[in-house]
Parts: sequence; structure tokens; C-alpha cells
Amino acid sequence: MLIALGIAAFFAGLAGTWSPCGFSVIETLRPGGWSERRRSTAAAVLTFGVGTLAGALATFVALSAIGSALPHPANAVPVAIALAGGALDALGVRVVPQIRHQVPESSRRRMPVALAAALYGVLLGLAFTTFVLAFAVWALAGIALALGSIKAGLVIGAAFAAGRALPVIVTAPIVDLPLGRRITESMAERPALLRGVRLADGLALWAAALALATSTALADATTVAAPGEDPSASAAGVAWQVPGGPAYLATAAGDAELPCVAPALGGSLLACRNGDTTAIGPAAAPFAPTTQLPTPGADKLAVSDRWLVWRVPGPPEDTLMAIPLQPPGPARVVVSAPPPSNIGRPALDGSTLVYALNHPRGPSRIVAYDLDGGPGGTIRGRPGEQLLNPSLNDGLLLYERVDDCRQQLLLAPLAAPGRPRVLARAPTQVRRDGGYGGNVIRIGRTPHHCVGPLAGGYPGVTSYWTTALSPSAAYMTLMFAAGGQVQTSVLQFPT
Amino acid sequence: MDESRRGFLRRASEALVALAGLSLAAPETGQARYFTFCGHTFTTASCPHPTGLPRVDVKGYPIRAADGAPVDDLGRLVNAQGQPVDASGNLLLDADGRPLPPAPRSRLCADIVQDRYGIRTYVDGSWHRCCGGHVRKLMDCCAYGNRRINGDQALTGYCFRGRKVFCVFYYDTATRC
Repeated sequence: MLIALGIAAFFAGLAGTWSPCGFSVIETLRPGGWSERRRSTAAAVLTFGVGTLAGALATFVALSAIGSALPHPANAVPVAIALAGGALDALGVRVVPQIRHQVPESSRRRMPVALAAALYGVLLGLAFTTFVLAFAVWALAGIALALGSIKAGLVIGAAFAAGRALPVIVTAPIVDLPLGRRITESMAERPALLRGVRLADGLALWAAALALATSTALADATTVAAPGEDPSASAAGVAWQVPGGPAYLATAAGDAELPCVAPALGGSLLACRNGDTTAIGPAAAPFAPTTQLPTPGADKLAVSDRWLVWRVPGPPEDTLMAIPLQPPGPARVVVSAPPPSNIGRPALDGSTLVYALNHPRGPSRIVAYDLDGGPGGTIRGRPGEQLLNPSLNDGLLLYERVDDCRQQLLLAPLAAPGRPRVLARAPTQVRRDGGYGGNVIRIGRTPHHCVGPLAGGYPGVTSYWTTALSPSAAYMTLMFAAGGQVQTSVLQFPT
Repeated sequence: MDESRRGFLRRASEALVALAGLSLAAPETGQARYFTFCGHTFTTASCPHPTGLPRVDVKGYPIRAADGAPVDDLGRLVNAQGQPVDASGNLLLDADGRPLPPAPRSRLCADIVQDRYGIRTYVDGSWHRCCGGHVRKLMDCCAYGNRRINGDQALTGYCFRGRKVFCVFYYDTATRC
């Protein structure tokens, strides 16, 4: 996706060479004109390039930064922008409305040419201060805003600057030579060249739309721990477990090994297990427990300032237990289910407990349960899909949905989980047959019910696994099957 | 009588396709898509199945076409309890060694098609043919409405009471033929 956006941005910048400013800058920087010697032309094209890069990065990174601060729109928004922009450029539609401004002509007379070139570069790099020769410029601005990804802003800005500056850098020093004259004459007299550039940026935008439609935010994911699993997060930081090894807590002060396992963060607290006892204390390193509670048989924990919840795995049955911390009270059973039912890892936010409940018969479910007795709720999966690994923070629910086409990491308000945002997507790991038998007539394509290509995600991912949600980031365990062993890593996604 | 008619139709359609030649590689817009399985001679597409070919067990639950092994809605092999297993029948485990959570196992026509396409479905009549050395029961997933899963005009097929075929699926009996 970033490659396609970069190509589109390069051609969008290239189209700008056909603007009045593009021609004027080539003329300005040529040797023997405002640049009296080739050496001053060389300096001027260099400063022009630097200025263009600065301007383009300012525009597209700023748009990305603004987008990152706004509510994230559906993936369909940047896809629609890319499709529309691509179509308009591919068809060669005249760009309207047009920005009928140019770089200030007087600058080349009042300033040293290298300085004027830098100024011209900044103005042309900013993209919207002078004539716009391709709809792709508008489209890329919208996409940068919609994606809200600084990385995307950097790629678009750098590629746009390259497209905008390179023709000037290459052509201006030789414009008085036969080759240079042929280039400028062709640009001036063969409109098909600009038409071809716009067609190229249109095709690149369509490729970007396709990539956007099928890709995920995985490009923005960073690895927190490998090996690592079962992340738990709060405003204090993130904790995780190394399979068969120690647990860690990462805070602003750095990473620290914990003296216990199965860590859980919630509110201001950290809980972790030592055998059948759970230690609870402030979420800081070094960990200094203030409370020790018996949690016999526990494997997974969840904690908030008011409750501790733990899972006792079956057989004979999976059970969730809860004990109030403020005020202290007796432990009680929240839910239990015999095999083959499976109760997933619990997560807490205040007094709201969420967990996944799966059974071969009946829908897959995520249950929200108020430990204080308030209203709860159940999110029921549809036939054909499985819901897994919920986590909760400030009313937002992070969970996974898996079907026979793909697995998705989703973020949605707990109160309205029906329209989630997809944070990550990967294809199913199940091998499918061709959908047709042997010795039969085959016309057309297989009637595959999975919409769109099943590409995306990391090759070799076995499955998405446990999640965590902090005020600023989402975390997920990826399980890999490698050499007959399950390997895990914890990824972080910006929210 | 009916079988011979369908046999004729099959042979005729095969001949037409052979004559069409190039159309195999580049079907025209609007041409019926015909991507099917042994015994099925019409153009209605298969019902969505977790592993591809729309083979079900006697109760309508999905099984893998190649070997008849039961699969869940995600397409994973499952044991008798519905837990996901590997090719050797061992439980699939997570990083802690616990069995992976079971996924639902839904009936192809009665549950999945009905939910996915928002229609009330019925399994009406059927027809049996000899396929791969076994008697195969060809079934239509029927619904009220004129549109089938292909997106075009639905056929009556084996459906009753004004219903038409939305998609097709099959069950292989143990009877040799």
C-alpha cells in the first residue's frame, strides 16, 4: 500500500512540472540566466531539492498528524478517495477548482538564486500554494488525512518531493544543451506526456485503493516482545508473559522482569501469580506487592482498582472467579462451563468483566458482566464465525473475529460493538479445496464466498491470540506454528 | 427418464463448451458461471462451505469433501466433541498447552446461508447420482425469491411450493455404486 501511494505521489509531483511554476523554475535555474554559472545552477538545484522536500514533508506529515488526532474513519474512506482520484486522473479530467497562484517572480531578482530556489522549492513542495496539475495531489492529501499514519505521510511527502524536484534538478542544468531543449520542447508541445503521467498516477492510486481495501494497520504494528504472550495494559504501561519464562513490565522508566507470572494490569494496579497465590500492588517497577490473595488453580488474571478475577482452567470445567478488593470481600464464582466449552482469558475495566465463551454448538459469544450487579450484555457471533480474546479500556472493546475467510482484530465501543474498526486482518490458515470436483465443466471463476483477496497479515501466522487495550494502544499476541512448536510474539497497534 | 434427460443436458452442455473453446478462458459478462461438482449439472453455484466443495453430513453440517472429515465453521478439522484437531486427530493447543477454543459448527443451508444472505432457507427435494463410486445425494438450498447465489435468475430445481434454488450442496452416502 505504501509503495503504491509512493508511486502515485511521485507521479503527482512529476505532473507539477507542467505547471507555470514548473516551467518557470527550470528557466530560472538554468545556467546563463539568473544562475550565471553552472556552479550556481548546481547550488540552486540542490537548495531547490531541499526546499521541495521540506515543503512536501510539512504538508503531508502535518495532514497525517492531524488525521491521527481525529477519529479514525472507516477504511472505505481512503479507498473511495483513491478510486475517485485515480479515475479522474486516468481519464484526464481537467483539474477544477484550480489554485491560480504562482511562486513570487520577484524573489529571483531580489535574492541570491540559491536562496530563491529554496523558497520556490518550499512553495512547490507544499503542493497547494500553486497550480495543481493532477487530482492525485488532492487525493493523496485526503488519504494522508484519513489514514492518520505518520509513516504514510513521510512516504507520500518524500515521493511527492522527488517527483516535483527531479525534473527540475535533471533538466535545469542542461536546458541550454540539445537534449535539454528537446526535453522542454516535448513537455511544452506534447500534451500526451502529461496525460501519460496522470494516467500513471491514476493507476498507482487504484493500486493503492486495492492495497488499502485488503490491507490492515499491520504496517503500523511494532513488536513489543518476542517471544511473548498474554499482554495486559493500562495507563501505567504494558506487561506480558514469556512462555515458560519470566514476565515483564514495560513502563516509561523501561522494562523490568517481574518476580511472578501471568501479569495483569488494570487501574493503578499490577497483579501476578506465584503458584496458587496472587500478588497485587502498584503498577510500577520494581514491583512491591501490597496484597497477597489465594487463587488456587488460577492460570490467567485480570485486575482493576476494585476487583481481581482469575480463570481456573478445566477439567473438570473452566471457571472464572472474582474477589472484591475495595472493600475486601469473599471470592465467588462468576461463571463455569464444562468441556468442550471454553472460557477465554478474562479482562477487567472497573467492575466490567469481559470474556469469550465458545462452544461447538451455539454461537460464539463475548460476555460483558458487571461484577457490581449492573447491566451486562452479550455479543453473539453469527453462524460461521468465532469471537475471541476481548479486552476493555474506558468503554472500548478490543476483540477478534475469525471465520473461514479471515481473522480480524477489531476495536469498537462496548455499547455499540456492531460497527467495529479493523485494526488488523490476516487470511484464514485453513487449506481450502478448489470448490469444484474432478471431471466437471468449469466456466468462469470459482464461486468463492470470501470477498476480496485473502492477502494481508504476516505469512505463517497461525492465529491471532490474546489482546490488551490501553488508553493509547492495542496489543495482540500472534501465535506462529514453527517446527511443530507454537511460538508467540506481542504486537502493538496505535489506536 | 429424468436422469436420461439430465444426462443429455450434461453432454449437450459439454459439447457446447467444447465448441465455444475460447469462452472457457474468457467468459462473457452475463454468461452463467458453472463451477461445480460431480452429479450437479446446472449452473447454480455451491453454497458457501468452510473448505470449498459443499459437502455435508447426513444432518447438514459441513465436512471436508476430500475425506468426509468433520470441520467447524472456520474449516478446521474437529473431533467428536467439536474441538479443533490436527490431521492426526490430536487437539490443537495454544502456547500454554490448552486446547484451542472450539468454534461453532453450523448447518450449511439451514444456518450459514440463512444468516449470511438474510433469507429463510429450506431443504426441499433432492436427487441421487453415482459419483466417485458412491451414491451422492444432490440437494438444493431453496428460498422464496427469484435471485440465486450467482446473482441472477433462480431456477426451480428440486424446490417445492414456489421456492427456487438459492445454492446447491451434497451428501455422499456410504452406498457403493
